Amino acid sequence: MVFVKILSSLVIVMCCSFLGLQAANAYALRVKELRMLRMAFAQLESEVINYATFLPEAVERVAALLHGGVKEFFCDFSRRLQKRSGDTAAEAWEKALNCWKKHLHITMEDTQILLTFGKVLGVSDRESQQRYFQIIQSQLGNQEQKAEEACLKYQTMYKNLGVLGGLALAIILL
Amino acid sequence: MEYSRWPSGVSWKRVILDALPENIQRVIDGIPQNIAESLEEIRIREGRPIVIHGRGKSYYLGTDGGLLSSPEKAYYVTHRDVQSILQRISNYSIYAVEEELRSGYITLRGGYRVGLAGKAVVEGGKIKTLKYINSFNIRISREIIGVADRIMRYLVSGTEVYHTLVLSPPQMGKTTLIRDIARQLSDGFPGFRGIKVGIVDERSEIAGCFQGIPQNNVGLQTDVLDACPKAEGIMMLIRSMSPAVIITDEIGKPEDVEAIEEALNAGIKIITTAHSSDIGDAQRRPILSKILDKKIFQRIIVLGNSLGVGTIEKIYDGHTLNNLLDRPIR
Repeated sequence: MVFVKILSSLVIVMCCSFLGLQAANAYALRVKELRMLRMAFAQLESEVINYATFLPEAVERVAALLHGGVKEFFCDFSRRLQKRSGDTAAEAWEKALNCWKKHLHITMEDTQILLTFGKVLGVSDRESQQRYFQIIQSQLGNQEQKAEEACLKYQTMYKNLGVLGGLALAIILL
Repeated sequence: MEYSRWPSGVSWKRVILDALPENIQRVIDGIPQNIAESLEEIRIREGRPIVIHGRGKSYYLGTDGGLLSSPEKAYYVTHRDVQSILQRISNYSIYAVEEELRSGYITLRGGYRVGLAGKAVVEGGKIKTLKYINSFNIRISREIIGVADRIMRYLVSGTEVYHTLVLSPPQMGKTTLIRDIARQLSDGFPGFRGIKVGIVDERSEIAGCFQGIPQNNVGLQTDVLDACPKAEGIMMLIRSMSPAVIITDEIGKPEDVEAIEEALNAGIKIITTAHSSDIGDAQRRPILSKILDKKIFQRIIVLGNSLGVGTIEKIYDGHTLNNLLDRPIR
C-alpha cells in the first residue's frame, strides 16, 4: 500500500513538473519564433527590394532557410500562391497563418501584426514595400523584447510552480 | 505558312485563363470555338461588361460565355475581379512589374500583352506608376511563321541585307512581319546563310519576352534587348553584341534617327517599321521625312489590306522609289 502511494505521488510530481516545464518552454519558444520571423522578413525584404523576385519564388527561397513551424507557414503560403487558387496574396497569407498558428507559440498580438503585414505584402511598389518591411521589423522587434521580458519573468516561475504544485498535490492526496 | 504554336488557334486559353479569376475563367472558357479561334482582344473594365473583339466584330459576354449583342444580361466585372487579375498578372508582385506599369502593359508567358489603364501617378513631369488600375486589354497576338517567305528575296542580295523600312497603318501586321524577317535572317533560308541578329524590343511585342526569354520564334542567332528604349538599345547592341542586323519596331523620335545613323556608320544593317500608309504620307511627317530624304533605307515595304490584313502592297527600291512588285502579295 505504501509502495503504491509513493509511486502515485512520484507520478503526480512528474506530471505537474512536466506541465510546468511545457508552460515555461512556450515563453522561450515564442522568443525563438519571433527571432526567426524577423530573420525571414529580412531575407524576404532582400529578395523583394534588391532582386525584385516574384513573391511565390521569394517566399519559397526564404522558407528553405527556416525550420519548424515558421518554415511550414512560409512553405504553405508559397504553395498557396503557386497553386493560383483564386485567392489574393493577402487571403493566401491569412489562410496559411490561420492554419499554422496553432503550431506556433506566438500570441494573438503577434498574429495580428502578421495578419496586417500580409494585407500589404506584394501589392505596391518597391519603395513602399521597403517601408512595410521596416515597420514589421520594428513591430516584431518590440514583440521580441516583450517576449524576452516575459520569458525571464515567468519561465522560472512556471518551472517552480510545476514542481511545487506537484509536491503540494501529492502531500494533500497522501 | 503556319501558326507556330497555336495550331487550333485557341491555345491562348491556357495562358490567358491562368491570369483570370475563376468566375471570369468560366466566362472566357465558354466563348464558342469558332469565335475563340479568331479572337483578337478581351476587354475587362471594372463595373462594366466584358467585351471581346475579333474579325472586326465585338460582343458582350454572358456569365456562361455566350455572345450577346446588348449589355443587359452580360457579366459585369467586380472590384474583386479586377484586384485578382492584377495580382495574377503581376504574379502577386507589383514591386516586380514597376517598369511595366510605367509603360502601361504587362507581358504574360507566351508573349501575350495585357494593356492597363488607371490613374497615372506623375512625378517631375514623368509617369511614376499607375494606380487604381481598372481596365485591362488582353491582346491575343498570333505568331505566323513563314509570313515573310515571299519577300525575303527582295530584302537580301547575295550575303548582303538591305536597310529596310516597313510602313503600315496600325493593326496591319508589321510586327508579325519583322518577327518573321528576324527569324529568317537569323536561321537562314534557301540561298542565304543565317547571320547574327539583334532585336531592340521596346514594347516586348516582337519577341514577346517573358522574364527575358523570347516566347516567339525569332531565330537561333538572335539576341533580344527586351523593354529597352530604342535609341539606347541600338547603341548597346552595337557595343556589346556585334550584330549584323538590328531589328526594331516603330521609329519616330529624333534620337531614333541618330541611333540608326550610328548603326549605319558601324556597318550594321537596320530593319525597322513606322506608322504610315504610304511613302507620301511618311514624307509629310517631320522625322520620317528626314530619314527618307537621307535615303538611308534601300527597301521600303508598304503593308495594307487590299487582299486582307497583312497584304504586301508595295516594295520600293529606296533610292529610285520604283515599286519592285507587279501586284500586291499576301
